[in-house]
Amino acid sequence: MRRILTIILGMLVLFATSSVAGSLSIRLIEASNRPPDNPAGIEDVHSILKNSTAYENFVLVAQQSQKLPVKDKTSSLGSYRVRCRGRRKSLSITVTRGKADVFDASVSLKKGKPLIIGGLPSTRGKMILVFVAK
Amino acid sequence: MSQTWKNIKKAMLDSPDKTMPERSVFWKDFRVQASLRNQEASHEIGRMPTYRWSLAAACAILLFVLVGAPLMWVLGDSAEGQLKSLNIVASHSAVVILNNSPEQATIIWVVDMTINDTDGTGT
Repeated sequence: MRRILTIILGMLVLFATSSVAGSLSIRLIEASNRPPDNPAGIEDVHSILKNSTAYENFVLVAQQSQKLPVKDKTSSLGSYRVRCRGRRKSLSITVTRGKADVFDASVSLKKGKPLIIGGLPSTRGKMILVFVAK
Repeated sequence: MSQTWKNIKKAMLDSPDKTMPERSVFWKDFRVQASLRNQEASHEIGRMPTYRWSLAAACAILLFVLVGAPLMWVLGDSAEGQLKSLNIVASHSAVVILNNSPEQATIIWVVDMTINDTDGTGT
């Protein structure tokens, strides 16, 4: 009986540690009405963006990756600065541009499923931020 | 020296050790001991049979699959990501929140957002 409990405990610890660790991918995408182009680097969200927005062309502008859980790290993507802190299920996101605050959000991400925040201003169309926890 | 050994021999013969067996008994016991053969132990002392560990591991895995895994699935992630709070600081006219169920994606679209940067150029 003690052996069984020891093995179960070991499996639970292994499962818990594997579910906590991971990485956070942050991508800045420019959406415009230019002719459609090769969606390099955004294949996983291209169809979602095309079906959910009125834009035809999506270009990956910048990409950053952070380890989860994030200990208050700021990433520069284009002219935007994205500050993340917390775990995958309780992630705080603050976006600024220059000295201006854009937005801040508190989210719970599911592994592999994107969180898309769009409508940020751009000269050619709109900017979109895509957060994916892996 | 020979006188001393002679005295010792005489003393031993005069007072024999009553605990010592007789010669015939001694040699009989010797032959019985010599005829014995070493036998291998049925198992190593201090280690349990490996099949008990295999059985314990199999029971643990079965318990985990039947009880633990469904419990973790119920308590685990929801179908989609959740937006707990959102504060749009920049000027805007509306916020649209969409849940793309097939892809399990959450889409937040801020309408007519304007950001006033430090150089005063708003876009």
